Amino acid sequence: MGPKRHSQEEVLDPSLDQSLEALYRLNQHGAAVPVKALAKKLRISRAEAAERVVRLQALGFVTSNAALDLTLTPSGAAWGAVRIRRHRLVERLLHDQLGLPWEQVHEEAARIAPAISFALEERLDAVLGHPVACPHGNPIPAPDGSVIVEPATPLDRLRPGSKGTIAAILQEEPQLLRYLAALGLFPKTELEVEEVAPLGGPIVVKVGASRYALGREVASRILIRET
Amino acid sequence: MALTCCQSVLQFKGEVQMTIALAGNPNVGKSSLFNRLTGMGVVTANYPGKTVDVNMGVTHFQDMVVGVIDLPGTYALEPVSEDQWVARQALLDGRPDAVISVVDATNMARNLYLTLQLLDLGLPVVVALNLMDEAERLGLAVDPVLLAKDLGVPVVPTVAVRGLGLDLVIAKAVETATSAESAGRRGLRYGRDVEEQIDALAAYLEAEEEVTPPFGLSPRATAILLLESDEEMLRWAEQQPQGAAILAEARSAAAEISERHGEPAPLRLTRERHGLAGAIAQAAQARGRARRSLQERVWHLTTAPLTGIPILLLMLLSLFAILFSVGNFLSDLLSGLWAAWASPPIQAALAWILGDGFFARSLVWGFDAGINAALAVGIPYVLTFYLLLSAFEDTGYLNAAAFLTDPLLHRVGLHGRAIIPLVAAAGCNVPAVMATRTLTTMRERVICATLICFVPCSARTAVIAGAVSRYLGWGPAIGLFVIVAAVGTAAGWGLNRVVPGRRTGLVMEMFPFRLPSFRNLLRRTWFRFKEFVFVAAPVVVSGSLLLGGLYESGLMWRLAAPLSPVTSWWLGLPAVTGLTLLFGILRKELALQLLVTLAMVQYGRGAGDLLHFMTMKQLFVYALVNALFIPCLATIAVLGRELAWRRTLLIALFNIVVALGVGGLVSRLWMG
Repeated sequence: MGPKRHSQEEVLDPSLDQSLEALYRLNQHGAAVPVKALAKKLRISRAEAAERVVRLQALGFVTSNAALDLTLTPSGAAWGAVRIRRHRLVERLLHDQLGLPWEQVHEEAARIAPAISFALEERLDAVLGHPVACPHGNPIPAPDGSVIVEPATPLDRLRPGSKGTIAAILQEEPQLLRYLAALGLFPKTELEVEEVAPLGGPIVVKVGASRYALGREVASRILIRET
Repeated sequence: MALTCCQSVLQFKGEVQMTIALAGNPNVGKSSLFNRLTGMGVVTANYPGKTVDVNMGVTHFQDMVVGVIDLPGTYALEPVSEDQWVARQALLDGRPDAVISVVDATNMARNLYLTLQLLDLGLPVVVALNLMDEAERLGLAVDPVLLAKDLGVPVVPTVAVRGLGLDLVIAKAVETATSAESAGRRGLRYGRDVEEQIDALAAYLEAEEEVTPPFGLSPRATAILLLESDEEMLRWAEQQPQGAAILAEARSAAAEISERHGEPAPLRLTRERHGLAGAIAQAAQARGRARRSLQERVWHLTTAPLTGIPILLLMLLSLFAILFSVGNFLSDLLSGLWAAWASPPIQAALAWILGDGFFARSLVWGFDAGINAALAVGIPYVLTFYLLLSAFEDTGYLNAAAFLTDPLLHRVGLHGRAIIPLVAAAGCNVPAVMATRTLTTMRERVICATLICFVPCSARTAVIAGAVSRYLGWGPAIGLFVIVAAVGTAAGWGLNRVVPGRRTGLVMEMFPFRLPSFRNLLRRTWFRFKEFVFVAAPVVVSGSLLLGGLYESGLMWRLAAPLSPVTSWWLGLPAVTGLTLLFGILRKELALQLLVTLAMVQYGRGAGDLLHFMTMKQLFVYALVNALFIPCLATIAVLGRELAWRRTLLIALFNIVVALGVGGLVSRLWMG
């Protein structure tokens, strides 16, 4: 994979780069991604998103079904994984070496990571001691794009009665992370799903002796390893 | 409020001999404790731009006057949410002589997290181990002596709703405040390597001659906050002359911790604090697991969709029915009494002193009609609703309702908690606007308050009933409600996209049901009601004076002329209706009464039947505009109090534009 992506590095437009990274993030739990979701994530119009998708399809990175739901091809996934890998390596650099608070590194890294070359990426990985997770606990893909993940499910997909431990909290929104942590919701905490409100309503989880109702968008960012 | 919270806290400190702050998680009986301790003279202060209040009251211990600061209920003291920010700022600004940490004995592990954070800040702490009766009922045997030993601070078991243990808590707090050596904690340690980093950083800060930690914090407290990458503390460090060196030191200490534990230092500290809290809680608790209680089973009934939704509908319906029926009954009764007993002497007295001039008649408007208007809204609706709202809150049902309605309200940028104000608005908008205080961000409060103004209150419903269902039948009346509901939903949908601010995800603790204390209910209702009396009543009276002056001087009729393009041309209504809509601002149902009166003055007795001078279409448009149009004076007064005048003005303008827009549109589209 290494040499191939090295050559692609020169030709890929930054907007496509960004789109692949977004698709990779949206796609990482398996389900196909609607064009609408991609547009929303990148804050661009749906027409523009569709136009980028056409270009990505031409490059063989993306396939779509009749309903225009997108899936990354193996090469698209590998490419996306490299984006994520660089992003998370930069996060580690910012946090470990430069001491930026962990809730700030996501946005800083988003600015820096696109400028990282393959050579710099390798050097960064070596200097940081081949880290396997970003400061938020999310895995850093290996150089070949493969990710070693333990099976984890977003909390909003669990049914009442299921139990598990928090594996990671996705989407690095600083204040929310701190707020959840103060309540005792952080990686390695055990919890139980007690109730799921109908119509996309909140989810009640039991943590220790406390119960919390979490909105779906919050719950979807909490990854659970079921027990 | 002229003084900022910081100033009022400091001023309050100057008036008392000693200040004690109450800190605790939400719903642990902190306000019961506060209510039991303090008398009637409670002062409320808030920081500019924040929706969360700090209450201050006075208590007496032996011959000492002790000020009590009631902080907002929070889970932690980090500046990540409004309530936490306010609680922490009030603690740092106020530097209380002691802090009573109110801990829920049935959920010590989570509650002690905040206690440890208070201790980390170096504050002198006394623990009030509250809800001891409930812990006993659940079969939890908690040992306060062991807890005190582990925490290194005094622990007093209390049952705040019944006033048990409160004298002792105050005595211990005063003792802690006056003894020099008890400040800070003794012997509580986090993991050894974390402690090493804290100590090293604290020693570094102490060694720097020119560095003085802010807010009188200890070097240790400063070190912990820096390791947690507390934004405010990082800003402070940056401003120091040797800021770069301090930050570098903090960074290397944090890096050390994160390398050792494979997670960022702030998260590690949070984990250690939770771990310590859990260990202390477990040691002090003889029996580990609570029995599944009756409350818990009832709780499940109210949140499981199958039983919860019918219960919710029933609760909302009864809330509405009580507010509507009791409110209307009291309102009629009070207005009747006023007309029979207060109104004649006031009018007579004014006539006797000032004669029958313009001045006297204007004053009658203000002091007779104005006070009557405040009375007709205040006691019947505001008082009734507050009693109901307090009961909903104190039992914990509010959270169950919020849980079930969250997905629907989410679409208009609100959370489930907004359901109560929105339903209450159908009774009266005034208490509904005041109830938006249960929402946590200004964005949600603005959206909710705007939508409340679109909900027809009982007075507007009376106009709809009197004008539309009486003359046009039930069908059009229901149609009118459907239009109003559609307009409200569309407004919410639009506001959600326009109103600035971050949408916060829902994270809400679900409390077990609790029997509320009646005394607390009454006291809380009274405090809220008092605010209505002092804030809204003067606005209503002065607004009435103004309207009266305009009417009596005849200026009102001249105002009618510029209005006529709007009323006659755009809405297609008789010119006289424009004036009555303006008077509707005083009280919405007045619009219809005045319409009938004015019509009779202008067109003779026969106009008492409105259809003699208005078509069905005109009646419908009239009732619709009255329903959507600018809220009444009392509502405007509380909007101004709750959201500041600039937002109130915007909401009122928005209402007028929407009302005229929809009214004109219906007038144009009406067939037949």
